[in-house]
Amino acid sequence: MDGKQRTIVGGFLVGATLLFVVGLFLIGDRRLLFERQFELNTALGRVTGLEVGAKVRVAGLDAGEVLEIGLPSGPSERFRVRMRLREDVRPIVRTDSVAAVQTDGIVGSTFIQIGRGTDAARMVEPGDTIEGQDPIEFADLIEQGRETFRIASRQMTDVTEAVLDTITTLNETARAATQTIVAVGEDVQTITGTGSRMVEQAELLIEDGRGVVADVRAGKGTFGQLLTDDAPYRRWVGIATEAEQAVANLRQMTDRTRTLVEGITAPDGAGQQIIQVLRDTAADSREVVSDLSESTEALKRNFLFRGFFRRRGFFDLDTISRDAYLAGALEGGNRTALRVWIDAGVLFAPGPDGTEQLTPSGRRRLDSAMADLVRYPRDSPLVVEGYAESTASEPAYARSTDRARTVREYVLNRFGRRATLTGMMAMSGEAPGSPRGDGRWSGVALTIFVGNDTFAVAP
Amino acid sequence: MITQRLNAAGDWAIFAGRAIIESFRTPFEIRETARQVFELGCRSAPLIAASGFAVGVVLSMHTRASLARFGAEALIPAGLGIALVRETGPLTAGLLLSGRIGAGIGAELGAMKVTEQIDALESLAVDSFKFLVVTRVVACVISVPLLTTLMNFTGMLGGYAAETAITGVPLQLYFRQAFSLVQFSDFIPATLKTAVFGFLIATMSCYLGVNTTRGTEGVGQASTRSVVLSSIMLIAANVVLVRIIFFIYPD
Repeated sequence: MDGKQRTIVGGFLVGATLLFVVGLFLIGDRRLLFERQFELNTALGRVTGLEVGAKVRVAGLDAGEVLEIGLPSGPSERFRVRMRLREDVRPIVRTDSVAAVQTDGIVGSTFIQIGRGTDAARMVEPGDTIEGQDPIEFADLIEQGRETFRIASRQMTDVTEAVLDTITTLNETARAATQTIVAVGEDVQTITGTGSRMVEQAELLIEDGRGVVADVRAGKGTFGQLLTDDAPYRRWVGIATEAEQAVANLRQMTDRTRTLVEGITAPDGAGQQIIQVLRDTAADSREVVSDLSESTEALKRNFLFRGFFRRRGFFDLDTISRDAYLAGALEGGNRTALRVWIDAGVLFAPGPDGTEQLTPSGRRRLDSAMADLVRYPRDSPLVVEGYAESTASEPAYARSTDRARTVREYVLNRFGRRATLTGMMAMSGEAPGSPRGDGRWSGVALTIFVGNDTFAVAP
Repeated sequence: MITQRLNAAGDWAIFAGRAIIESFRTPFEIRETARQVFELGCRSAPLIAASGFAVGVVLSMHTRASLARFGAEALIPAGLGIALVRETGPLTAGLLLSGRIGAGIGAELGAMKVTEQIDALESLAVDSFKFLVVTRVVACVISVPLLTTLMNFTGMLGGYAAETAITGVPLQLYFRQAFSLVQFSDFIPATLKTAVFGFLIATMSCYLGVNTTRGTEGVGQASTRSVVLSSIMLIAANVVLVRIIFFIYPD
């Protein structure tokens, strides 16, 4: 064996041995065999996945390994884990540091993570025991996740149903909105078209307006002349001045008239004096008329003149009582009474002051009734009989009197009959021969007393 | 046939026991042993280095494909390191060496046997067993663990080459990560068990070589049988040795 071979053999032996030693050092270095170390303990309830030789990290820095996992002596005891750490991390590890079992990712190895403590706590001494935190079981996480997923799934189902309902409602709303939009769109098109035409017309109007303005500015036309000519302005000024003068005169006349009216209407003014004179005159006139009436009544009863009055058809209801009237005092053997019964409901309606007033239908009814009666001689006496029932506020006689008066006045004004031949009789509620058949009536009866000789001639 | 096999196994066991005893007896034949270390160890180093490098590259690629699914590419160096140190390195080195060393020893000694060179040594008052067998056995026992270490490191180097081509990881960091999961109980027993592999390879090859018959044909058969039987015994011994290691180091 030559020297070269011996060299190669020596190199091979040394080199390979060195490689082996390097491997040992690499392993030993990781295991901190060549550094100063100290031991630390912790107690854990569970050591899932933790093995002897597992890494120990302090605040994420590889700092040592697990030396031993001591079994608990009873169910209530905890696992005692003995760890070896680098001396240089001891200042970080305090008595309030917590050792937790963690995993490198999901499939990584299990290690112990020691958190850094607080400055208030003292530095750990070799052999101290720090608090341990049990590992989180992946199975527990899965079970929690399963439960969470179950709840989320249930809520998702509920939300989905609500969303589907909402979508259905939205679809219907969208459909209705679409229909509305289509309908409105047609209207908008119409309006737009109309608007376009209006715009065109407005443009034409504006163009015409521009022409008018140009003409006005040039003094053309009446308005242009008004704008450019001073003469109308001067005339307007003159008119305004005259108007002011007229208004002043009118104001002055108004003041004089007010003064005059105040003088007249003053309690001691001329007006009051004139009114008093008129009142005195009216009173004197009444006295004269009353005397004249008494004189006329005396003449009607005088045997020399009563035949004249009788032939003229005059009669006097004031001397006939109601009972005598009912007994036929006016008929007198040579007249026949013809009656037209009219109900109060047709004739009257309450007025604003509470009194009964003739209604339009009542007037038409009276016109119709008089149409039947006017064919008889005009000198036939006509008596308006008033009938009424008593009410809580008004006796029958008063109501029947009012009804008879109201109808008499209408007949007198409407048909021009002579007042002396148109009388009235208040009958209260008694109405023998009324159409109701019970001898009562509420309303009026137009009764005309026609001479019997009229029936012999008339058809 | 079974009897023959058992006879042969008994002969080989006696042969191996004699080799162990003689290895502790003088003369130690240091020079010849060194020469055998050169022939069997140094000359096998290139093969082992190249094979280790290739194995490391391939293992790194396969490991990356598997760990990438979990986003655990950072564990590639550690996975490769632990695989190489525990099993891949020793077994691959042993099988490669059983092929090279076993075939060489069987052919060499078989040729010496059929050419009566062994008889010539005996006639020169040289203990042929000690000179031929013990030296080779000791050389293999020394060389195979060293070559296994070489394969482990070249395998890690191959893994580094494959990894740095993708991620650009520094060499120091890679090797630190590669040994991050390796324990003493992984490195030392797995490396030292290859001494047993060397012993088995050498004894079997020497046994078949010195018992070669039928001329050159027997030499060829001795060489071939040396490789085959060495490989089988190596694999069987690996199972037993791993079990023993687990027994001694249960963690």
